[in-house]
Amino acid sequence: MAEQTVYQKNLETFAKYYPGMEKQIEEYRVKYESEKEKDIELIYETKDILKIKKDNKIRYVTGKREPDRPVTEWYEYIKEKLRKQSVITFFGLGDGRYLQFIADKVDKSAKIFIYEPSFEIFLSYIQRIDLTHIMKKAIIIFVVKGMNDLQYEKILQSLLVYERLSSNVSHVIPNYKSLFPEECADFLKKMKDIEIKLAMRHNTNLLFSDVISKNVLLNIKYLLQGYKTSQLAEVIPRDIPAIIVAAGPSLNKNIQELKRAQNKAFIIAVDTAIKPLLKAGIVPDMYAVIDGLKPVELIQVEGAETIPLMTSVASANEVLEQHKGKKFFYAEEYRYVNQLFSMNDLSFEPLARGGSVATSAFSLAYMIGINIIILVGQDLALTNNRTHADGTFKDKMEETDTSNCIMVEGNYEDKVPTRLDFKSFIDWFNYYIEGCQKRRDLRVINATEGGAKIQNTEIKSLKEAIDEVCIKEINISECIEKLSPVFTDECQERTRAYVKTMPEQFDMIAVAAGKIEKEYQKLKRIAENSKGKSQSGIEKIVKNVDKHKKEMEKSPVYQFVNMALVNADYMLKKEEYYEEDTIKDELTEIARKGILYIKLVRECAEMFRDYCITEVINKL
Amino acid sequence: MDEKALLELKQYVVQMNIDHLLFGKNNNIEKVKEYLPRIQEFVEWFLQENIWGIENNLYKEMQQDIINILKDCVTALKEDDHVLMQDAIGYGLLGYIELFV
Repeated sequence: MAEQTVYQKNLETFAKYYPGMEKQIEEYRVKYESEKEKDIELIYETKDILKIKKDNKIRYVTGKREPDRPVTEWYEYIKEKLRKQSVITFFGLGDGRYLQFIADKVDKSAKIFIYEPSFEIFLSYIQRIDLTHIMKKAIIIFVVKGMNDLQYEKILQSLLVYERLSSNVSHVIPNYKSLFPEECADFLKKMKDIEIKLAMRHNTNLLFSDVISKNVLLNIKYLLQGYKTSQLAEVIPRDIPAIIVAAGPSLNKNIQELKRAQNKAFIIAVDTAIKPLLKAGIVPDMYAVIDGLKPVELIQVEGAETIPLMTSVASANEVLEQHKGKKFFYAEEYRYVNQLFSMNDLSFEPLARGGSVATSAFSLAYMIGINIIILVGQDLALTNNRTHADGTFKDKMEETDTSNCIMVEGNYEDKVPTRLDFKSFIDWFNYYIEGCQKRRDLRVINATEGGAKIQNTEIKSLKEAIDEVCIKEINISECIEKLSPVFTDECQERTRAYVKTMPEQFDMIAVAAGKIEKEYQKLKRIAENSKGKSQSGIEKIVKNVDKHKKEMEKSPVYQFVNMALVNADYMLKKEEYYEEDTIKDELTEIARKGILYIKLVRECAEMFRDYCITEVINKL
Repeated sequence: MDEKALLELKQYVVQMNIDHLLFGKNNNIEKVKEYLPRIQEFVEWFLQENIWGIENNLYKEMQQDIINILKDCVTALKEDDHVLMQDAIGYGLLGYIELFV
C-alpha cells in the first residue's frame, strides 16, 4: 500500500476537526489545478525559505538570513497580551512559521483564525506540513479566498468578544500587504468594523444600563393602552410613499418643500426633527422616539403631544409621559414585556432597528408594505461641518471641527466627513435596502440634498420626488383613528393583576441570590482550609450554585436585574481571562467574585421590589 | 565615521525594524532610500581598510557579506520586497553597525 502523503493525512485531520472541509479542499484543488493561468508562483529557495512571485515581482515571506527571527521577535512583543481564549488573527499563512510558532505557545482554548488570500499558498502548506500536531494545540480556523470565504466576517464576529478585545492579536504576514493589497485592505476593514460594532454595542449597553430597566418598568402602563407598529399595516395605504424626515443639517434646505407632501405621503419625523417641522407649520403623521435617554426638551413643542408616536418600551419615560396621543410599540428583547403579550395570546411583532431611530422608522415604512420611501434630512454626515439641522439642539447649529472625521462617499460631493456611529448607520442602510429590494420592488429616493451616499437609492431633490410620487390625496389621521388598542379591557385587567405580582418575583430572586451567596461562602472556606483539594465539596457547591442560578434566571423579571448590573457584569467578565497561579488562589478568586456579584444581584432585586410597589403598581 | 553618526544610524535601523516587525508598517524601503547616503558612508568606511585589525580572512568574509547585503538591498528595492529589506538591513547590516556602537 502506498504511503499516505502529507496532503492526504491533512485532509483526514481536517475531516476530524471540521467535517466536510476535506471535501471542500479536494474539490477546490481539482478545480484550481485545472485552471491554466495562475497569478502566483511559489519558489522555495531552500527547503523552508519561501519566495512568492506575483505581478512580476519576487518577494520573500519571512526572510532570507534568519527567517525564524521575525516570528520570535513578534512573539516577544505580543506574548504579554495573550490570555486563555485569546483570538489571534492572521492575514496570510505565508510559509506557516507564524502559525506553527504561536500554536505551540498559546493556551488550548485560544482561537487562531487565518485568512489566506491564495489557494496556491494554502495548498502548498498543507502538502508540506503535517497539521496533526498543531491542530491539537488550539482551535485553528482556516479561511481561504474562493474556497470557503463566503461571509467569513460572520466567523470573525462569532470569535471576537468585547471583553477580550485587549487580549486579541492581529497580524499581517510580512509582504502580504504588497502581495494582496485589496484583500488585505478588505480584511483589515472587516476587522475594524467588527471591533467598532462590538465597542458601540458595549458602550450603548453601559450608557443605557441605568435607565433601561427603569424605563421599561415605568412604561408598562403605556403599553397596556398602546398599539403595535404592525397594526399600521392594516390602515396605511400601500400605494402612497413614506417620507422619513431626519434632522440632518440638509433639512434646512428643503424643509418648506415638505408642506406640499402633507396628506400625500405617510410622513414620519425622526425624534429631533419634530421641532423644526412643527415650527415650519408641517405636521407629520407620526414621529419616532426610541432613545432611553432622550431629553424631553428636544421634542417638547406645541402640537407634538397628540401626534401618533412610534416608540420603544425602553424609551425615556418622561417622553412617553408628556405624550398624550397614540403610542405604537414593537417587540424587543425584553422578556417580561413579551410575556405580557403571550399570556394574553397576543402576537407582538419585532422591527429591524439598525441602531438608530431613523433606521427604525425606515424599517417600519418597509414592514407595513410601503413601496416608495423618501429620505429627507438623512445626511449621516457632517454636511457644512454641522451635525444637525437648525432648530433641533439649538436654533442655529454651530460649526464643528471635522478634521478628525472619517470620509465617505457623498451624494453630491466626492467625499464628506462623517462620524463612526453615522458610518455604521450608512452600512446598515446599504445592507438593509439591498436585502429589501431582493424581496420586493422597493424604491428608495434619497432627497436629502447633501450628506453621505446610501447605496441602492435614487438621488433626487425633494421637489422632484414630491412632484413624481406624492400624487394621491389621503387623510392619514383618519386611517390611524380606525385602530383600537392591542389590549382589550379584559386583557388589560388580567395583565394588571399579573404585573402586581412583580414584587414577589423580585423577592424570589433575592432569596435565590442569598442561597448562592452562602454557597460561595462555603467555597471560600474550602479554598482557605483545604488548599482546594476537596473535590467532592467543590462539585456539590457548583451544582447548588447552578440550581439556584437557574431558579433565578427562570423568572421573567430577572432580566431587569441583569440589565441594571451590566457594568458589574462587564468588570467580572473581563477578569475571567486572567488566571491565578494555584488552584487555591483560583478558588478564592472565584468565591470573591461570586460573592461580590451575587450580593449586587440580591440588593438590586430588593431595590426593584420596593420600586415596583411605589412607582409601578401604585400608578398602573 | 564618528561614533555619533554610527549611533544615529543604529537607532534609525532599530526603529525601522520595530516599525516593520511589530507595527506592520510597510515603509522600510522608503526609509532606507531616505537614509541611503548614511548607509553608503558606513559601507565605504567599513570596506576601505581594515582599521580594527580584524584577522585578514575573517575581514575578507565580512567584506563579501557586506557586499551581499548591499546586493540584497538593491534586489529589495527592485522587487519592492519589504521582508528582504528588513532581513538585509535589520539582520545583516545592523550586526556590523553594532560592532562599533
